[in-house]
Amino acid sequence: MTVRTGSAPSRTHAPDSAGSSQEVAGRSIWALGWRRLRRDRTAMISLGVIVFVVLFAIGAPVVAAITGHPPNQQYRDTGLSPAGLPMPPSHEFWFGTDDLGRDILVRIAYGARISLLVGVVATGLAVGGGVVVGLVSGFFGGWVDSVLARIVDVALSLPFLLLAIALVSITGPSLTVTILVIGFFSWASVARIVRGQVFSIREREYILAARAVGVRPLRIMFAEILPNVIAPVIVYATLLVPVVIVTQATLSYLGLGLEPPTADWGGMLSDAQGYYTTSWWFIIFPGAALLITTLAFNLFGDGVRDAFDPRSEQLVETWR
Amino acid sequence: MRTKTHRFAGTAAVGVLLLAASACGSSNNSSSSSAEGEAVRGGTLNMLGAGDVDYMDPNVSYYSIGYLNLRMWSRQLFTYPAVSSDATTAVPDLATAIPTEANGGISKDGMTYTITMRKGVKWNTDPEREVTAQDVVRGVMRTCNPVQPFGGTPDFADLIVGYQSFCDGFAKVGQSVDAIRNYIDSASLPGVVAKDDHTVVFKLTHPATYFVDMLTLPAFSPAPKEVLNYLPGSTSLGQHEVSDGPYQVDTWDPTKQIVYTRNPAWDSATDPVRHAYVDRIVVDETVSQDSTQLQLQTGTDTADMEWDNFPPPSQLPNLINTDDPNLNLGESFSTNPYLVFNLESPNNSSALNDVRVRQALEYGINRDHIIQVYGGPDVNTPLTQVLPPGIVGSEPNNPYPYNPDKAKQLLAAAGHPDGLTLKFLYRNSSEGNRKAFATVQQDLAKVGINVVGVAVPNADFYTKYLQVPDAARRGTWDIALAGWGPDWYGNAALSFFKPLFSGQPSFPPLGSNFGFYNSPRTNTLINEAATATTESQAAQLWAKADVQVMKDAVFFPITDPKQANYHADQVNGAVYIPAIQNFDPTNVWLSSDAQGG
Repeated sequence: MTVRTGSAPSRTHAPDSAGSSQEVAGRSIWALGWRRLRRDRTAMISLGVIVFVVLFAIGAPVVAAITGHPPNQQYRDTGLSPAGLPMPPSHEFWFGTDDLGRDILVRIAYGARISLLVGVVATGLAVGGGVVVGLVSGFFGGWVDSVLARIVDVALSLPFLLLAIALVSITGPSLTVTILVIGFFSWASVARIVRGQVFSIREREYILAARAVGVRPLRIMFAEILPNVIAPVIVYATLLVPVVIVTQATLSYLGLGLEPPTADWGGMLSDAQGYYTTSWWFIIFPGAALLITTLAFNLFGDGVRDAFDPRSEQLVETWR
Repeated sequence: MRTKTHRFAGTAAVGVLLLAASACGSSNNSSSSSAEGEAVRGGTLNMLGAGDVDYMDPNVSYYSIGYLNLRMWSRQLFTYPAVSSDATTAVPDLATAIPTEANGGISKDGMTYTITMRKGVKWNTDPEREVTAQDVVRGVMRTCNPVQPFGGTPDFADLIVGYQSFCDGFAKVGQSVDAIRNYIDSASLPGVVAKDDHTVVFKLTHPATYFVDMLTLPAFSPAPKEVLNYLPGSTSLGQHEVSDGPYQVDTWDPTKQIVYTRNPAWDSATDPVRHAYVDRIVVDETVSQDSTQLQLQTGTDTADMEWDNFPPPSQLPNLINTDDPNLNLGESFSTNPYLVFNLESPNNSSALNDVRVRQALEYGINRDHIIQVYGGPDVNTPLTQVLPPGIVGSEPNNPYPYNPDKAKQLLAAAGHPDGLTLKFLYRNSSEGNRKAFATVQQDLAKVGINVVGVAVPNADFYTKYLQVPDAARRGTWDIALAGWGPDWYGNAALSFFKPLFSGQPSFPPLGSNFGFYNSPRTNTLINEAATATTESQAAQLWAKADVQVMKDAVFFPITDPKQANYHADQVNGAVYIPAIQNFDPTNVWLSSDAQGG
């Protein structure tokens, strides 16, 4: 019998195991990735946890209303012992109180806002800045690339904690400074990744064709190159969020966080240090919140990485 | 002197092991218990702390941990004994007796003190040499050296004849060892004279019933001529100090360790105050507060006493409830912390200059709430006037019981019916400070006052804010949280009023009147009390000054806190002395089965 040869058909009918025929459609990288992700149980559970934390953060005022305790209100009669010690979890304070008689559950909810806000915005800034620099550096090459690559090198060798401490002691604690500082120290890794990716595809035929035809560089970078290098960036961004969250908590723990009495997980852990022998709830609950959130983002990021590029584990450079 | 406000020093997490050990430790402790009875000589006393002395120089040191260190190796004419019932009554140390009019020690007009010194007290020089009256004179002269003057000189600058002009001349000679030595050897200080090798004569500008107590200040320690080869207060001097006490500084690794060994020149027959049972004292200055407490509780040989780490406040309630015999809550005779108001703040159209506004603060701040977050009334006795009980002249007086409604009325009467915004200055590294700020913020909000925090690093608190007059006058702060303790005990009201409330001479940077309080009436009362001829007269006048300061509402006293100290089981004969904020290491002995470490 004759067999078809030549052009690959875009649609064929192929029997499936149940016997009925089904269309096989070409899928985009996003659809394929999402499908693989959906099948990853760990990643889906982690996504569920992330969604829960986000809702918990958004609904912090609701939590405050349900318990009847505003986050910064000190309850001296019911929330503190006569000797000034925190009270354990009880009917009135589900997660117990801190050393000023404030409701820990409500403060964890408001603290989630800070962590998520800094996590997402600082990551966004880092990724935004890194992508732009990486695209420009990789596409233009030559002296532009030399200059930008050196700048990236310098940014990567700056001692983060020392400079963060110095900066915050000059400007004083504030949310904006924290976000900018963390964002500033994270963009360089993204730039490196993007630059490497751009180098690997800038000699492909469709890019060369676009350049030959005279498409403007800006359009080539953002419309042709970017979509093809974005996958590792997304993976990296998802794994960067928990690092940013922990970094913000670290800064806050060191006293470089937000102005008191703002509730924030790192600050709560710092305050709880002196009470770990007498008031376990003061350290356990904020610590668990931080741990669970970070773990969820990390596991979800692993899943995203596996879904979008299951062959290459070393695609993403780990952030120092 | 200035004290640290309660420090809630944090620490990195200690392992579960230590937690378990501390849980087991308390049951172990009950078995050995203090072997009262015959004192055991020998052994190494291990003291654990987190900080170092301010200066290894008796004539310059002005900090409680410096004083604890000096107890081992530096003697004064008079000092405080390790007598638990009476550790604030001065006894003769280098002197042979307390001077009185009857024994000729004090002249009839009360302005000349003739003090006879013991014979046979030696410096550990090579060869050993007697401590003489000339050494005492040299010591007093060193207190106003131009390199590092003693911080408490305002207490006696105008009391000792010729002291002020001696110091004025001293300030001009420059900061070299030679210049300082030459000045001390040649200039004269008529108010402190060595009549012979064993007799010192002090001449005062007015009678001072507190003079003997004041002579317990380590600043009045004798100084041998060898110390003139080094700059005052310097590290190199600290490495070459000369001792007349039972121990000597064998090695000093600043901020890390101090090792004291027996002083071969010390003769116990000449020292009625110190028994010096242990052979060696090792101070480890790298231990955290939590770790110190855990080690002391587990009863290991290498942890005997505290250095400058006290029991963590969060653990005190438990120690108190279980009646732990190794815990001591002693009187501190201090006002720590307290809130000082900035009378020169331009904020809110100079609202704090109006006594009604300040009285509103007095009525609107709840003392019990602040005491609660500092550990509760068991450890913090409420203080509602200037002088804590036990200081001559202290009389109970509570002019402003908590009353937020009255506070609001006063604010309205003063022209601020809509409230104020006040800046609260505090140290951000201190957990106690942070909690006090949050508490005051919440309480004053009820009165319509919005309290805004100004959290600053420890190092800047005094040097950039409180001691800088411009910072106050520009309104960088309205209320500040500070602490104060007496420089000596008993008849010590002067060391409260003079540096804190005596008008212009006590303004920063010289004094600690951070709020710029200047009341002619109070100043007069202070002068009269300081020059009173009998102690009872002085007491009455101090009490009047106290009432006046409270009426002017220039500060808000909070508490006279108890000083908590803990020692390990194997330490016996531990007596708490307020002057060193600790048990006396020169009078403790170690159980025979726990001598090592």
